[in-house]
Amino acid sequence: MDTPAHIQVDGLTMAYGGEVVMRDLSFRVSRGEVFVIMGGSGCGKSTLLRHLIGLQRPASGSIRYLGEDFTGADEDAREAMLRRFGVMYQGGALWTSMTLAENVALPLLEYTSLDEREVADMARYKLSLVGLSGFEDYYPTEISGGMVKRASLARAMALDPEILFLDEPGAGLDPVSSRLLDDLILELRDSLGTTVVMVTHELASIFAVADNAVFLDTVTRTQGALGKPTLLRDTSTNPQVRRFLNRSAHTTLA
Amino acid sequence: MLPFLRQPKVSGGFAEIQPAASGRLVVRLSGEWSVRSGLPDAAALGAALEASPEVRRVVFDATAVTRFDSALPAYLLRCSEFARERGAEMETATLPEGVKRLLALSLARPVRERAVHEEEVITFLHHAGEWGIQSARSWRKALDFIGESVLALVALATGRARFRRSELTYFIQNCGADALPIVTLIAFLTGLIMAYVGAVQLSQFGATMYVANLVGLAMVREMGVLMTGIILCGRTGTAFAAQLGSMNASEEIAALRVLGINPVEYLMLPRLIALTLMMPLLTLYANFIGMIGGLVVVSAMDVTVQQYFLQLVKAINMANFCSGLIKSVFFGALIAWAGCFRGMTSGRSSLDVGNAATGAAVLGITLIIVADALFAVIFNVIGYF
Repeated sequence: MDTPAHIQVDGLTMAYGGEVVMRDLSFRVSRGEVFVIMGGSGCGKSTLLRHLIGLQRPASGSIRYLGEDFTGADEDAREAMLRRFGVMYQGGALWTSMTLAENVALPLLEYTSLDEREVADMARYKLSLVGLSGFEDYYPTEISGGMVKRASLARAMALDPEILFLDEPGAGLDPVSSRLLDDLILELRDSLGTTVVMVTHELASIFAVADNAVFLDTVTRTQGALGKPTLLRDTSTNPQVRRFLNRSAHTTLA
Repeated sequence: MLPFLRQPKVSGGFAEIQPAASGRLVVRLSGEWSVRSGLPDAAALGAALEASPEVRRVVFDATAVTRFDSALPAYLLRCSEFARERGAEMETATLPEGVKRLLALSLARPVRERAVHEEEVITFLHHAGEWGIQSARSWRKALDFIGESVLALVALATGRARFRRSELTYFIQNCGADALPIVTLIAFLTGLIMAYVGAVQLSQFGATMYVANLVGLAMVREMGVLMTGIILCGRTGTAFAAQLGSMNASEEIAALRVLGINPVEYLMLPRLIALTLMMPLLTLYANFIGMIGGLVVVSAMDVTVQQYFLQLVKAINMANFCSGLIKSVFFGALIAWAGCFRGMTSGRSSLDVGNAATGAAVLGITLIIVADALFAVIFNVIGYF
């Protein structure tokens, strides 16, 4: 606890207008950890992610990266922090007027001094990591939905970000791709020390990759539990959490 | 770019290729490998392999690598492509554990053969043929849509058309009442400009009074309806195209079709009806505002308000007055149709949606000018005035 956490969230309350989505979220994510944000549909998982990447301002509370305040930071400091993020959006958010290789290359061209050949090599590698080698010259409208998601992940990884934010990465992927994606996430953590923050409700994926997780409870509108999902499944005192992690429709607790 | 002009890299990864005994090639990797400082060109390895075809194995020595990120596996991936091409094997056992696994992940899935866009010899005939096929296709699309539009109108006429009434009222408000401010401004200025141009000439003959005839007739017969049409084309027609284009991109139109709802009826009719109803009203309004614009000019030239309006009433007969309104009904329908046509037949990317909006404006304005010319001929032939 002596070094500042990679991500530290304190008393975060999220609201749309006057309507509170979630209140009093507090958790920390250490460097090189895979952190999962889980919860039922419509509980505010993606909203939390949008707060973490600065697309929405919190109603109250603070978000800190390596001890540095993110919510109250000035424009320059925010920019510098954003540069260290890689984000994969739920719908892919690929730029449709560019090929896959150009999509991945854009951050490299904007923020590094690499030449054309180097950028092409990097883009190629990132696309091959997500199983899209050979699709460099395709446009996003020419490939399937699952491929769009994978290409979006390749773009998020373009600059080897310190923190990778993934919004529902497994949705729309076949089981094999989904499994390879989990392997990739673990490998990025182990080999490159990337911190991964992931929004998902896919149990297989949650148990496979998560070091730590926060459960957003729709009933109480605050965090239901915090900890390693395999542990939470068996020991959590919150019935919502156990139902979610045991995939049971009824609250049957002994 | 010349090599010495290239931005110097402060640090970075280096790869040194050395031939070794028994058909091997050693690649010594060193330095700090980072995406931000770049990676060496793997083509050097390709060239080395080509120069010595007896090489069967490429061995990597990464003992001098101080730090690495994905730049190193990216370089190795390219190396593996060159090695495969030359039939050489890569020995990766000596690489750091993390690099080995990151490389393995990128090779985990079968490599799809790169989609090579074949270099064709492009001749004039090729271009002409391509152009012909393209325009045939777009004409066909247009004809399809015209057909569907006609069917939708027939359904409307026989009372079988399905669309949401609330949508109709929304569009009536949206393209009628909400357009008033801009129509006011443009019509007022149009009247004012015509009055100025006319007044300068007519006052030389002491006929300043006839500015009323000029402004009044021009407004009711041509300018009122044309200016309103052009405004609605830019304001409403393009909006229709953009709405429907993005609906098409997100498969909303397909969803309607599959549900058994005719999207042309459901989406085009409320827009078409709204604009066809609102266009004459806006034109009427524009005519009136244009005349007021003219009044502002002539009242500065010793013409009273009463004189001006009396002159207007004398100058404009019913036939003149109605000709603009008759045209406005058709123009409204044409603008709405052009917007819906471009939107519903657009492609799925963000560029396509933009093109649809531009296309709607161009097509809409073209259609109303052509229709205006046709009306001029028709009115003349039937001796309307």
